[in-house]
Amino acid sequence: MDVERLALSLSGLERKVIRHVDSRRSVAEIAKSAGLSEVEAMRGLQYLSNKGIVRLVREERKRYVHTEKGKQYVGRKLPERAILDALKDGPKSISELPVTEEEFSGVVGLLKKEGLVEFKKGKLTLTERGKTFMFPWEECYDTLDCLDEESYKVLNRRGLVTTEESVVWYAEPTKLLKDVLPHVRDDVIDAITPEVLRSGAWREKEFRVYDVTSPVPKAYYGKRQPYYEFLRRVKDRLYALGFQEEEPGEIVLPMFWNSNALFMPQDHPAADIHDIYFVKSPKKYAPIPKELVKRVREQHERSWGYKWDDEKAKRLVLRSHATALSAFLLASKPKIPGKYFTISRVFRPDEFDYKHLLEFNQLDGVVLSDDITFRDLLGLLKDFAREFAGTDKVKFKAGYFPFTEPSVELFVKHPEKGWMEIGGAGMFREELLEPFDIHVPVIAWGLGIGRFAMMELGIQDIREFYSKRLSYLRSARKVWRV
Amino acid sequence: MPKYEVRHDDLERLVGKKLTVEEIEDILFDLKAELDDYEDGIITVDYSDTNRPDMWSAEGLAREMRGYLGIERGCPKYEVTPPKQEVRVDPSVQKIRPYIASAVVHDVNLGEAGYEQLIQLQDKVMLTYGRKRRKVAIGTHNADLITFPAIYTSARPEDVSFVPLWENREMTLAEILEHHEKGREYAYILEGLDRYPILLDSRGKVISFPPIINSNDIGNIGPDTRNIFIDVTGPDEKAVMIALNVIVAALVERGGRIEAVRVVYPDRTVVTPDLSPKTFKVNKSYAEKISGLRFSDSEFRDLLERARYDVVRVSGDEWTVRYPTYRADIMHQRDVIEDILIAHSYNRVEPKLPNFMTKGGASEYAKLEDAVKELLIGTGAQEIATFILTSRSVIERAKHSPVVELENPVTETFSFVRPAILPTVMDFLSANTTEPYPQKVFEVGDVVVADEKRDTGVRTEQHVAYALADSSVTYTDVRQVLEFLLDNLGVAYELRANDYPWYIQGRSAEVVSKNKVLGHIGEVHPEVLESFGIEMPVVAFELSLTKILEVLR
Repeated sequence: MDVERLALSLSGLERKVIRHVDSRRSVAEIAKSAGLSEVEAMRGLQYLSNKGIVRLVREERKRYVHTEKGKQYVGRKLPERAILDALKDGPKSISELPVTEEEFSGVVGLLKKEGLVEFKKGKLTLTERGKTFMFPWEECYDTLDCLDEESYKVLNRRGLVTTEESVVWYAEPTKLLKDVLPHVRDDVIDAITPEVLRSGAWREKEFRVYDVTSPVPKAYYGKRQPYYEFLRRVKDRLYALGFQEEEPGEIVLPMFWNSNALFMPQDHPAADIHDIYFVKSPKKYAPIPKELVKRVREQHERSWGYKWDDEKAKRLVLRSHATALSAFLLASKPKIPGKYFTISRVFRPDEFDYKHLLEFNQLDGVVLSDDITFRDLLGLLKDFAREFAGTDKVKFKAGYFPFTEPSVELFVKHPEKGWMEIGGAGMFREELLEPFDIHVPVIAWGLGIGRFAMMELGIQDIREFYSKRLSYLRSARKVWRV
Repeated sequence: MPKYEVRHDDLERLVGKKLTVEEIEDILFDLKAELDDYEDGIITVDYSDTNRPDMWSAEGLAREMRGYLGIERGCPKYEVTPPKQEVRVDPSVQKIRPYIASAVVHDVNLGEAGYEQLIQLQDKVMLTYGRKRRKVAIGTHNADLITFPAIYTSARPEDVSFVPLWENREMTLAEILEHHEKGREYAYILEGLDRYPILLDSRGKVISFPPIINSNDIGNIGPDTRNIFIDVTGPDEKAVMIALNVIVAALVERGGRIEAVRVVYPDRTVVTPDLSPKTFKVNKSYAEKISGLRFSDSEFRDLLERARYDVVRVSGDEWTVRYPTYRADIMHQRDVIEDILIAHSYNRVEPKLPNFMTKGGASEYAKLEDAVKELLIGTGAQEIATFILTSRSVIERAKHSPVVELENPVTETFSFVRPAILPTVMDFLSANTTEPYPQKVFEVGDVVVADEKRDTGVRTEQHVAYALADSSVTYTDVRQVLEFLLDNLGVAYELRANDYPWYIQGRSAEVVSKNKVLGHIGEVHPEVLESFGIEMPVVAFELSLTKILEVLR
């Protein structure tokens, strides 16, 4: 930066102190002559120092100070002076002296050693020398500013004075200061204010130049939660693929809607207390639709060969899979042909660690059409792989879900992790569709969005999805890609 | 999903072909299984289908692989020689665990590998297909040590004692339930009964105590046991018969010869096992409609046979097929069609996309949710996400009332469904008291509120909660946000002074529109702040988006 521009970049504070650094001076002195507080002067000098205009030098200094005991003699006579002065009127016994016994015993040795007093007939008498003698510290005891080393030792021994370490800052001019100084002007505009605009002052004056590269304090503005943002982007892609989003569903459901309406038998291993949350209160059971239950019940008893138990079907649970919403969709006379999806929170009693949550979001969808086939199902899955995992490398595994037949699992090849499962799908069983009076093939699919989200957000611990750390949310990068 | 181990060399021997691990992995993939692990020649198979117990052993897997590879075709045939032995069923056991199916398999050549498989298969079948033994329990015994006829009867818990497997002393049935590892594990099945099922031989020696444990003497089989007696018990005759078929079919793979057993019930006699194949009708046109593939007759036959079906008759479009009775899962044509597709290999099916157009789009709720989030982010607030499950403590410290409590929580921390978002937002603020202020946060999500009019007594709603924490915030600050939000959403509303336990009295209001209470707004009560360890004033509001949607509709 040239010196003119440098001069123009000086802030008000800098301009106020710069003229007072004509030689090496302490900051306190500069503050005084510039009419600033020491803190302000120091800040201005620091800015100048950052720009290389002055040099700040730190000096550690020892300073003499009075101890608590020593403070009581400030502005008063020290014991030695009090004794010498008192004796000028003539010899005195110890008790007649204007000092305490302790003070007396503290200085008597000193007075004798210097030959200022002597004992005569039990009384203390001034010597010739004592009449005019002055101890070297007496003159500057109050300020301690001219105390010599020897005197200090004496006073320190007597517990009157001690030393205190202190730091003193000095500012020294640099060569640059000399160059800059002629260009420093006081008639520059610091902040642009309504007043500056109204008065037109900006026409005559120049604006102070900022150091636009110096750091500023961090500020936090509003933004989306990263995981929810990710989910929103997933939804956008599904809208684009022609899927209609379902309205949110109930979290507390009778087991009937959560499982049985999906052709899951009542004694299915996944209907266990280890896999589904049961509700304790406010109610444990709720009525279920009679006509539909009758049809489902007949279907189950015929196909699975067990005795239906209404009580089990009425038991209230927390939604344990997003497919539960599909049961409601099927019961709500969906459009045919139609494509639907939902992202919904599901709940399962599981481990709670870096890989497992007790509640998580599932992405589930259905496609209903008279001419939809297994080939279309694979085609859709391939499309999903491209859309969500960015790959054409897919493999299909024969799968098993109680509500679909045929069933399939979707695997994609991850560049580092190899083949990984990202979804399950199938064609809803006819036994499931019949009670809903649906007589066209229905594809059902679910994608493991948790896995995509972990990769996209670059997190290793799934609990981060619901991070309680505001610092993480404030610093997490926005989820987006070109 | 059942997981089981097989030895690589044993599997090759059973299939009759050398196979690399990679080849096995690919085949498993097509057969509904994953190769979960491979170590020291042991393959861990993760098999998806909980309805195919016949596939949970090296023997069953090999049988299916032979079909898949074209080494063997059609429905496996089993020769069963007529019964020489009898199991007599006492009327007293019929009220407890009514059905038993048995077989004797001779000349089995188990060896170490076969023995491991038999034990593992029994375990898996009892656990998954047998619903932890409630539906099916299996015992295998050294047939040579049993004096027939066997008696399937019941006994009082204290009346019978024997040496159970892995023990060296006699124990009564009651003692077994209390002290034996398996007794404790499965005692729940016999809970509340005053008589327990028991299988005795004709000398009165205990063969087994179903569904708990076998006898240590005649129950114990080993790699060298040649002649095996099998008993399967349970409350569902069909399931019991299928489980028996699964076991004997596996033993046939080890060279066994099946001899039937006569089961004499008080009112009838049944000869088990019944391995005569079942027939099922499949329409080829239906298979084509579902799969989207076209099959020539010979192709269709080939796929069926490799999936281990026999074609019995073809009459126009209708194909009558025969399938082995260890299959428990064939309920509908779809089940056969899946097998055909598996034999064809999913990965050889050419994918296509649906040929109809649909218009995709957001749900009404999602549109509102997105608008709300955009507006609140515009106020400089950070969106947060907390869990829907929470604790009684969080709800009550926020001076709300719990609504839904769980019966079987994993931890107390997550034992309630939140009735509102504000409590979990307070919990969030409480975790961030060392972060720079101001803290403006909001969350949109599910809550479950009480609703007397619903059958379930509750209703799921979507809410938004907004909180502003800083050294000098007031009601005005948050009210400005509320007004900004509702005005932009086009919701006409009014505020009515109303007190809430979680707000300072006289500094809160309910938000009303078209006589619906949308939510509330106010300055959070110091008692709430204190209980969350927050030393900063907080102002907040919570609104029901579900109700806003109702108002706007």
